[in-house]
Amino acid sequence: MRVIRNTFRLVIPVAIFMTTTAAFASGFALFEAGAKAVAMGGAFAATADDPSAIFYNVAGLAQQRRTAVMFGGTAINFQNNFAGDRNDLFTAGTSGSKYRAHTFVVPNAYAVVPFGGNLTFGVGVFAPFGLRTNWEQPWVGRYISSDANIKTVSFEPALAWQTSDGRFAIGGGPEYRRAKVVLNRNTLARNPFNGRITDVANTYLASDWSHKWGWNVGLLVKPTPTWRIGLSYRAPMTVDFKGTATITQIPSGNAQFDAVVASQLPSTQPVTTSIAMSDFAYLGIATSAVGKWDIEADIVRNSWSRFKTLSINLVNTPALSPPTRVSNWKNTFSYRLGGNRPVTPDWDVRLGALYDKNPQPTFDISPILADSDRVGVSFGVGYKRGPWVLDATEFALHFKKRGSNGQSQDNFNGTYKTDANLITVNLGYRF
Amino acid sequence: MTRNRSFIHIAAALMLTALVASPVFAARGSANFTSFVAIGDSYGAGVESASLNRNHQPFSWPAVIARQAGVADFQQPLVSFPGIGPELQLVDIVHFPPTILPAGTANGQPINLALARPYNNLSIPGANVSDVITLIGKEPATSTARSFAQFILRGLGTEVQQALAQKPTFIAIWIGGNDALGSVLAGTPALLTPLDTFKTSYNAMLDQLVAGAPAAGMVVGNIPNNVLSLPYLTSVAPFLIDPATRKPVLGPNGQKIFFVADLGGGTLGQLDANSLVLLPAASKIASGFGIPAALAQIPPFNQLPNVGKPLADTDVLTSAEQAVIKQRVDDFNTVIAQAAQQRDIPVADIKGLFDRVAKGIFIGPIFLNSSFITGGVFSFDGFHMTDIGYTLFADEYIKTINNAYHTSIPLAPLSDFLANNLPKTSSGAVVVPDMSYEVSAEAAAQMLMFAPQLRRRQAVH
Repeated sequence: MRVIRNTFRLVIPVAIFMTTTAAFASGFALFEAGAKAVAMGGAFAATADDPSAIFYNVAGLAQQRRTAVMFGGTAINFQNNFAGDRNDLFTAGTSGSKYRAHTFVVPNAYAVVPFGGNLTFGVGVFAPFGLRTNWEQPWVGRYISSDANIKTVSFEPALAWQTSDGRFAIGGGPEYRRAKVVLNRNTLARNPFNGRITDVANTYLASDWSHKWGWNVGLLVKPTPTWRIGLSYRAPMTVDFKGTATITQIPSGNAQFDAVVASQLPSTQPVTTSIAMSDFAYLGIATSAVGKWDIEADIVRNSWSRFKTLSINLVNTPALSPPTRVSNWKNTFSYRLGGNRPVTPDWDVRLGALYDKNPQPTFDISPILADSDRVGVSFGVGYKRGPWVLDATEFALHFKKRGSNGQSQDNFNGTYKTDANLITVNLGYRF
Repeated sequence: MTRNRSFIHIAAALMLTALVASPVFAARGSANFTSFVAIGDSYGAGVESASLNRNHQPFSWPAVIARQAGVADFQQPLVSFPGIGPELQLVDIVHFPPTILPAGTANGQPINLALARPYNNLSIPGANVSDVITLIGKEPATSTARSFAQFILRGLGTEVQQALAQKPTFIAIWIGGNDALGSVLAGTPALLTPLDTFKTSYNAMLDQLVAGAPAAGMVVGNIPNNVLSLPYLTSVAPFLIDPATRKPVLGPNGQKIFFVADLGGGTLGQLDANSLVLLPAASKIASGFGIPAALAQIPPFNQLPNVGKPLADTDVLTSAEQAVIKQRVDDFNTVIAQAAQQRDIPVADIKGLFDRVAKGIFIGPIFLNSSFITGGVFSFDGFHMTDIGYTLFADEYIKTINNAYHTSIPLAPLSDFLANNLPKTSSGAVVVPDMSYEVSAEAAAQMLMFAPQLRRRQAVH
């Protein structure tokens, strides 16, 4: 006869989603859709004088009276560091963790075709959102996220019309956005045989490419020959994803422990989720009344308050789905200033600066994304030779140090420091 | 109304007086870890799973503090694996109940007996407060504490004397657990240290330390009073459970069948829902002890040889016995608080730690509680801590030191226990557990002295 209390029963917690799951996002909007615009700190809504106007202010297409194509991309490299909170019983003393070294490329491509004297048709391909936080292993936060990746690509046909005097232009178009999300993490459990915290499973959540339609409108007004005002708006959208949660056991080397883990692991199965993406609302004012400089200042608002929660739903075993993660992001503003100055008939130089507020509350700071307020400065050049146009930009972005201050909803507190370097190059051809 | 106003005035005056009169706590000495010594018992020694061995001694709470404080040469009386006594190990979790067995039949050996100075960690398994100021290591091995004192104190003086001999700059103390724990493990309040004895010994200990090292910083800790925080007392139900269903066996009226035991003084009776059955008694129950005689002819109980025989008084803690123990520990804690306050010594809240663990805590990805085997805080003997548990213990001390001395000693993180992030020594070298197996016939005798109450085969077959 064996008599023992139920608590004696061995239940090793190997819940795949032991803590809240993927917030794939935070302020994951991208503004890098054209080298000239990036060189001007993203202050381009009232200038919008190259094909990337489809992204920054579609009304700007109307002032482009030559058929043109332009393509290029932005290469992004991060330098970051995570330091554990000295008062956190799990992360204290941890330091030196960082992302894997690799370059993220955000592509863009545009074509512009004017019709008659007032109408311009354009089509653009760009990435309005994106995220990659891929941590170097062994990474102490791997139970929350080893790798989070969100990709988007938008295809937008657009039409813009301007008055014959060019002082007023309006444009718009539908946006077809495709998106994909990935989250990779390990599940940890305490191995009762050796008392160590052991990686027992890997969960790789990968969605299929999903899609959604949105829209985009813009307005460009030139009240005087030297002043311009631009307004543009890109609609928000929530993308629904379907995908697969691939769950792979990681052998511990102890057959009994592995057997217990295996008995509790859910199987690989379909998964669904939805991600809210913000709108973009631009207001820009530009002037060419300051010497040879063309200067623009923009305010951009993103409606990140739409990003309130995130739910991951395991289709076959819904009871094992993680609890809905509360994020409660805030709407944000960014402030952008840029200038362009022709120095020769062929060469332009450009300068820019920005301050970008982050939407993420402190409790939501995590290895998936630790967003923070950013300041950036940019420098670029433009070169024209015959029909060819080459733009190149160097952009340094500094993220203010961000700590979770003991409030992490993942029980994972620490301080994140991030800097990014972005190089954008575009090549254009005007027919 | 007038009475109310008077009351308000008096309350306000009292509050004001309290505010004015409350002294700002200034801890004695400073948090200088140039010469760091620790005084304690089996928790301080790093006993785990009924064994003192070098696999776990690096995680004794003093060793963890030393590592975090950057102490360069923190010496402990290391014992080779499988330790004194042989470490209890989990060998089977596939079948119910899990099986725990000692890692061999012979003890390990002390491996740095020749250290030409006292150890920094002077903690003696089994020591109570009185032992700290009386044992010198030359006494006959008639108790657990005396056995361990022989190779830890080595006749060089008491724990306190050897601590002072090192001209300590900081002294960490946790003692008093065994003044209550012996009673808990034995299932009777009779072994509780009398309050006066405890008070006299505790104050004498601090007096000697303060007199011998007047400039040293110090920290002490209080004692858990929640017996429910120990899996030794919470892992065996006071009523019959069907091992197949793991649910209570019910009587004809749907009632649980509580065990019969000696409730004290030879009085037999059935346990109630608040009674606690000690972990080692599980093996007795498996042979029929405690099962009421009325079931003696009913299968499968009729196959058990001891049905109808009561559990011994030492197998259980009744509600009344628990209350006595809790009250005595509360009194001990009052003594500790007063003694510490009188000498400007901060008190680490170990009682609070145990209370939190009893409720369950999330640290990073890991949920820890006081469950046996799976809880993560207590080892396979049911009352000593695991490496993780001792780290949490040390962190309570570090937090107390930082608060009292305005230092910033980093907490020891549990992420050190990630399997591929092995803990590191202060020198940066990775601590790799020594899994070598050393057999010594001479050590076998010591094993029996370590914890005579423990049954080595707790696996309840």
